[in-house]
Amino acid sequence: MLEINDLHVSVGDRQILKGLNLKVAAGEVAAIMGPNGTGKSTLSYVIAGREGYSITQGEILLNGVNLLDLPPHLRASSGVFLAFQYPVEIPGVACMQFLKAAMNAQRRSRGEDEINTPEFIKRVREESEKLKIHQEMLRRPLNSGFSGGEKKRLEILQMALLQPKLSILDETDSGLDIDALKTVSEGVNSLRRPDRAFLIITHYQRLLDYIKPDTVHVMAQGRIQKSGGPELALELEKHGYQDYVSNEAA
Amino acid sequence: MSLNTLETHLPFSLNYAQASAEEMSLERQEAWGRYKNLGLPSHRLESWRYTDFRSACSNSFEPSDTIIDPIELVREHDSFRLVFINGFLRHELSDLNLMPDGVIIESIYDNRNHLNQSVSLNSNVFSNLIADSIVDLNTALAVDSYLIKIEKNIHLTKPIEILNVFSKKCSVFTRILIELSTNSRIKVIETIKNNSSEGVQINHVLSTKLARDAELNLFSYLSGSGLSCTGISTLLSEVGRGASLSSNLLVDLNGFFRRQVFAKLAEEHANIALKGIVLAKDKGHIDNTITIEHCAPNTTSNEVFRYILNDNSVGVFQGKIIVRPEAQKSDGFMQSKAILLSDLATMNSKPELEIFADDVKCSHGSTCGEINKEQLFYLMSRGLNEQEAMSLLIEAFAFEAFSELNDDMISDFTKNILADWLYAERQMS
Amino acid sequence: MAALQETVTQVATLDASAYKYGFTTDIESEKAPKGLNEDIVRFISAKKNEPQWLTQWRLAAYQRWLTMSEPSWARVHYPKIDYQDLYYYSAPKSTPGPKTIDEVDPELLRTYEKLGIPLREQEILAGVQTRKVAVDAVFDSVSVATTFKEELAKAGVIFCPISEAVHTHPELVQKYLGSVVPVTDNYFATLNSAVFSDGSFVYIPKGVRCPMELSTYFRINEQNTGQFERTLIIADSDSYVSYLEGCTAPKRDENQLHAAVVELVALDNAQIKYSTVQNWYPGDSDGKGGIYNFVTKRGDCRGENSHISWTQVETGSAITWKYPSCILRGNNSQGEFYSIAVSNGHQQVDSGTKMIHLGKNTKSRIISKGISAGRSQNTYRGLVSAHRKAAGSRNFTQCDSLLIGHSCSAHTIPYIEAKNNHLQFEHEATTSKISDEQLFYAMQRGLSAEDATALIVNGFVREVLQQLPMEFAVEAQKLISISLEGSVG
Repeated sequence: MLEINDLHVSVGDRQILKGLNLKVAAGEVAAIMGPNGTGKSTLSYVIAGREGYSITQGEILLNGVNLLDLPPHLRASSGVFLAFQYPVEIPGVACMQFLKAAMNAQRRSRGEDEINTPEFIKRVREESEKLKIHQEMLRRPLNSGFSGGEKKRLEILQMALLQPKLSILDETDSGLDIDALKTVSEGVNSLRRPDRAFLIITHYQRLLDYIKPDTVHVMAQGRIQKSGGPELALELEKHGYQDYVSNEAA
Repeated sequence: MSLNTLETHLPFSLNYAQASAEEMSLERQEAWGRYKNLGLPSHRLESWRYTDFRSACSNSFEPSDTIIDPIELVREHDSFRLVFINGFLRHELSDLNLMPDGVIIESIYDNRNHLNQSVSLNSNVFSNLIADSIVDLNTALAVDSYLIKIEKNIHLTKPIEILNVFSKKCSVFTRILIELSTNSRIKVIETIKNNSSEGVQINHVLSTKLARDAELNLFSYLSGSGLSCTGISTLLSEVGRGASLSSNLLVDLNGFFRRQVFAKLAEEHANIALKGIVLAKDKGHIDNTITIEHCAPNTTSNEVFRYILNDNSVGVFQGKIIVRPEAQKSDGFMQSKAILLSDLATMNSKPELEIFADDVKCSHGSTCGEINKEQLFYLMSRGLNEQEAMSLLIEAFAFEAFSELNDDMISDFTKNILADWLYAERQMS
Repeated sequence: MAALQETVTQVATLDASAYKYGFTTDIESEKAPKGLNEDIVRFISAKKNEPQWLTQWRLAAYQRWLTMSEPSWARVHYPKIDYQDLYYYSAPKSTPGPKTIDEVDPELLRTYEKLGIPLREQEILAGVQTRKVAVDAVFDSVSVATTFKEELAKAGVIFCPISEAVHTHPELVQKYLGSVVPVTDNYFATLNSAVFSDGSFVYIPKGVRCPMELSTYFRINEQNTGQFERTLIIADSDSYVSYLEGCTAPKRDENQLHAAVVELVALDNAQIKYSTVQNWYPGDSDGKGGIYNFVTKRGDCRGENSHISWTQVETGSAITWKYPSCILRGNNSQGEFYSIAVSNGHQQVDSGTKMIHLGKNTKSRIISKGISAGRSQNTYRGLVSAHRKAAGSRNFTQCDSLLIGHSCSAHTIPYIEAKNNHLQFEHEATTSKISDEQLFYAMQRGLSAEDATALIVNGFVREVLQQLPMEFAVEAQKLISISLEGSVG
């Protein structure tokens, strides 16, 4: 489903991704692990199309379409969803208003009919109950004054409503207590389907106890250094990232 | 309205009011004297540094006359309506006979155009706040002017609408006084609509006085596409004990406009909230200049303004909160934010605090700049295209100013104006 | 709050004795005749044996000044200054340009010792101070001593009185003098251009990081004497300098005029840090006497990536009229302004900054903390403006006022002018008093009302103090406490 070939990305003079290759198949849950500052968040932003990164080489294909040619909203409607590490606060825009605008925008660009209001409210209610999100919260402005846990749950709610093909979870576990972590993970697990893929970015094993990955990739210094099965995550938890960092330096 | 041409017009304007210069009433003579002394404000005056009215008025128009033009008006709000066309009250279009009990509307001038003895213009209350001659000019030249008096304990749910429509090239001086007696409560919708294609000069003064526990909710809507509108609308307000003035201003007007507010929190627990949304494009120049004086303890003021500036437009926000030594435990808040949509747009802000009492809480904030890129990306990453995302952000940004508005009619009206404006701008770009 | 009330009433009894630098130095001095005319300008120029171009420059400034009028827009009030009733030149008689520190009049050395400014290098080297600081000491109209000149010269740094630089480095002086603050800039700057007596000159060559802090110490001693010093600092490409200025004056019943001009020029990648601890005599408890501090300070970030930061601790002077500013001309240049302005007694402060964004991606930051006590008036006045072409400019302004007592006032007058849409300007301001809860909390933990207030005030200004070189930060902190004595502790 997702295929990244020889991706080089820099910010200003600094090269961050240095020839990254990655494949994620439909139905697969892939975890990317690595120490801070290795470009994990850069990777997620570049897939989603954030400004400010210059892509000097390489391609990102989603089902054969090069995402790099598309503006962010068309990447979204073609199925890319990024759960932000730091969801953005937008004062004045109510959550419900935003959710509806996003759903309809994606539907429109796929040539589908807009969702009607009763149907929309019903879907939001169903999904938000699963995630233990209070209706009161959805009337407040988007992410404004939300706690860390509330923000992350709202990200997962959006994921559930938008039904993306590829979901990228950028450090979704950071700032979550154990109960919130469970709720969020259950939310993610319930969305697993053979035609969907997940890319989970984290630097702790913890999240992977709840969302079982099919593949684990170790990222360091702008590249995938090693790929393997779930056992690789446990190995990392024991030995840390030392090996990969020094290998690269040598 | 330039100094010289106005002088030549003076006999003219008194003429149509069936009076002669010798018969000019004392308060008019005095005001005219003060005006002649000061002249029209120019940018050399500190409070006019960003708005050069003198040069904006280099061409002067003839004062309006009472000749009646046929006019069709759509009723936009469910209200008791007073309709002024080119500065003159049109009885046949107004609801003067439908006004409920407890609402008294009377002309403030007699047939010689002298102030009725029972009426006080009250402008001397603000003289220490006003350093220019605009109000004096209005006092000297306003003719068809009215007092709206609300009696004790009257609570009106249906608003009183003061609709000012301009249909031709003219220079207009209008004055409205609103007096709210103890514990009265009303809503007022004030609309200035410029339909004149040749331009209009407006000097409008709305003077309000709120007695104990009175409540005035004012919504002012300035609109019109006539390019050569040059106008100043002055709001004077004296707020008594426990009384509350709330003003929401929506400007969607081409041309050169200044809204100035001089307000006094005269007695304890008085409260003022001034909110505003400014939409400007082309060569529009929109100025909000506000002076609020806290004269008594436990008074509060709150100002929130949003500007959306496109093309070559200029936005000006000058706010001044003065807290007098006796106004302990007062609370003043002022915020102005601007989004500039064009590289040629300009925003000038000057949020001032002048504090003479120590036990107060005053703050102000001001930002200007482009649309927040993080927010834009977040929305786009959820599937909204750039235009949709921009519109959503701008609407939300602008409407923050009215976030405490508790009136569905005004709220919906404002949202529609915002959406229309953004849609039109999107089509242009 | 009873405790606060009690300290407030003490303001009435506040005596000028709180000012510990109020002594006078008994030293004979040579003065120009009172008053100002072309001859006086020529006299000053001749005294310094100046080249023709400079005499002409002064005379042109004087002619210009005659056509100007004193600015009246600031929120300060004072009786009209009689410019003919002032001495424009005064120099200690014994020092016709001392060659070494040993030739300096011992009375002068004692004065600076009393002020805590060591001028003998060996004293400094003996470890009294932890860090070496080169000092240029200006007494009334002349520089009396400059320390560490040789060591600085080794690094290529020029640090000397401007009167000397006119002779030793005329090309630099002529090129940069008046290039940041033009002769015609404003009434006081123009006056200064005509009659400036002395001041410091600094040139940091390309690629040099100045090996020590530089500092100038200004002292007004003579009665009825105006002080008009002129400082010019040039940081050439890729250089760095940190500079500190301190000032005191004796207690006198008459007001004394201080109209200085400071010009900073930063070329490509250069950085200048300019710190001021201003402690001129503020006048007595009745508002009698004190310095009129009417100063023009401006930095020009002329080069790309250049960086100028102003830090000021203003506690003295009867009236302060001062706006250290940055012209952000070079692309990616940065300007900063950190200020603590304390006013007590009858002091009047109208101070702030201007950040003028001309280049692309320029950044500025303003942190201003005003504290007013007694019957003082404290005004922040600031301008942030961005030119049409200054795309990518950023400003953050935080401007806080603290009021102590019922008879003082605090004003905030910011001007924000944005002329393009690729910018982000943010401005925040607050006015508050020390809350009863804060005071009570600290007192419940055992602090006296005075200590509690001092503690809270220190917290209030901390962000700015952190910008000062460490030794001076400690000094400044003490100074703030002393300045607020009688009102808070």
